[in-house]
Amino acid sequence: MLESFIIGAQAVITPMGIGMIIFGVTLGIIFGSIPGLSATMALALFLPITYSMNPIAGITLLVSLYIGGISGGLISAILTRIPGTPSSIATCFDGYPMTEKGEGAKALGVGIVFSFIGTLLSTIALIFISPWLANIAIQFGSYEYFAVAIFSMTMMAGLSGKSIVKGLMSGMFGAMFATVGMDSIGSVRRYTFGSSEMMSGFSILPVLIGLFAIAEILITAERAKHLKDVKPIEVDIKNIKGFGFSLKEFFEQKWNCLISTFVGLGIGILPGIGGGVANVLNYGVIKNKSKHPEKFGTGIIDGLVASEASNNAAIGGALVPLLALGIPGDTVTAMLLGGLTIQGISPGPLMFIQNVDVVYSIFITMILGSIAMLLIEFYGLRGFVALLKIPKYYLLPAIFVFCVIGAFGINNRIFDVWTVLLFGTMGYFFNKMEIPASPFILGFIIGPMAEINLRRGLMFSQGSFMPFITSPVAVFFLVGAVISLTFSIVSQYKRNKREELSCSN
Amino acid sequence: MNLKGIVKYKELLIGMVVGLCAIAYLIGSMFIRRTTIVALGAEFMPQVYGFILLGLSALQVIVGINAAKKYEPKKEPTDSTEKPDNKSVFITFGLILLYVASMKILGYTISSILFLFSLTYVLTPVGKKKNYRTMIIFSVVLPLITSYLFRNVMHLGLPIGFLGI
Repeated sequence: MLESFIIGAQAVITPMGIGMIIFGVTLGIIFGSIPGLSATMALALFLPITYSMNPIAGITLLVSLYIGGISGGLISAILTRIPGTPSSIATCFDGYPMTEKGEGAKALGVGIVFSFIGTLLSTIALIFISPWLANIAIQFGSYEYFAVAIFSMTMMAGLSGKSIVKGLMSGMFGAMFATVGMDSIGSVRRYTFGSSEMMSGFSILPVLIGLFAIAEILITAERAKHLKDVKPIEVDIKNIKGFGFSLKEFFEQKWNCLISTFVGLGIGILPGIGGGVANVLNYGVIKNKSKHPEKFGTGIIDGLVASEASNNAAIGGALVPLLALGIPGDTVTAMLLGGLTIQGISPGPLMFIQNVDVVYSIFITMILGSIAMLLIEFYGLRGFVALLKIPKYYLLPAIFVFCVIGAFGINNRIFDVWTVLLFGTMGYFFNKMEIPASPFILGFIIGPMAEINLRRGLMFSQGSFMPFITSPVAVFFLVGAVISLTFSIVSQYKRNKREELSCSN
Repeated sequence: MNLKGIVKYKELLIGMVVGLCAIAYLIGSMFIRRTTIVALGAEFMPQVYGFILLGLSALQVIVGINAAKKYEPKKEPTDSTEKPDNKSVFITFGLILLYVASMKILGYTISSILFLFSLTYVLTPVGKKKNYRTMIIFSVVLPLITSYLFRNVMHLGLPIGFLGI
């Protein structure tokens, strides 16, 4: 492992690598801090820049954008009560009340420091878990991979928000769109309608850019005409000591931080669920465990730590299934998957053998990126606050132009730009119909994985399904899939019942 | 059906539209060429997905019927700023369509200049004075810089129009 670390460090610790980290983290924070923009958008925007870079420089930039993007959301959450990204929704609950009480600088300091700790601890976990998991996964055959794919698909139910049916529908749509093009086993055309461009199917990046970036632009356009200028509360960070809080306050949060990191990491590891869920869920966990739950929401640092440590811990968690199994942990890691694929690298257990330099350069980037995030976010705060005032009517058109470049650059064809538009429109209607878009991506990525392994497995077993239910690993994941689905259905049922009761009262 | 009707039957309509999509997809799966190379043909998974989606749409129809029965109209926001501005969305979408369609003819740079200016114009908030000078500078400079950067520095292809730019 040490040798691999040295290889990774040699690849990243260069003027170019450090420059990429600083550039990526700074831009990520900008994207995270401006409401309506997100880490996913930042990656969509900068993917075309990575096309011509070497794989390590490209992936360093993307990972740095990810770290900055998730953390940057706390700035607007604390200063304007508008979460910059879904990952910082719970940051508003206590961050903004602290700012109103005149403790804005302290809130920012706490948020930034615990974001840093969350990222760092989850990176350490990633460094130990992912090679171990990859080592196990390398022994997987088609039967096991099929079961893993089915298990991951049941996670769509967990991502469904208010309605499991809608979440599963979204996931099925994703899997269906992934069947378009040449079938990878028998080379049979499916749903190509005679078009030669459809034969290679829809590339993942235009789908992601469309579904998340373009749909977001259309959603923001709905309110753009009435958008008022963002007016952040002024915070004096010039005259504060350190990060604005005492060592005693820091140590008082140690268990809160550890639990939050653990929860964030765990949620991040589950395929398809990221920081957006982690921060809200963990806020509830910490509040329920607290000796003074009534104080949550009034401006206490406990709530802030719960949100920021967990959402950043989800970064390392989300990278575990991506690197070890090739399954993205959230939408941003789905973008990373696209970025790696463009560079000719297939995430999964083989990556730990064939591209060990890339894997360890990701680890090094995460460590250096979190340090860069701590320093840049705190000391460059004034600049980021000023950027909150950039008008949306300049930002949105510019983002769209970058998305077009990104889509066109993949294969140098306008077809991919039309694909972006198609999925953008779809994402917009999904939003209007309250159908979650994340399961779509999961279905789009995991659907082909399930199909290939099922059909390949049947080729090995000469048409028998028995090995799928006799392989211990496959059985483990299939049983896990049943439990996960049942759990999601039962929790949804209970939630609906609770809502009905509260409505009738 | 008026807007209130659509809102009342929204969940039901979603179920029906998704059901139609599933049926269309299943019909499409019948045109996939059958092969005997592997135990399961290329049409197998599309059929599985199609039937699952059909089942889900049926569930959604049931959810929709129940939701329509329990439907209680919500108070519409009186403040116009709270209502979604569909006109802006349609214009934005139209401009995006025009932009992509014109890119092959006009090329990246010119179509981007026109697109950026038009969309900035459309999205400028009501009551905000339009600063044409900034809008023009922004619309011209961004495509020129990106075009130079991506073509010459990053060697990435961008659409070239009839003017050769």
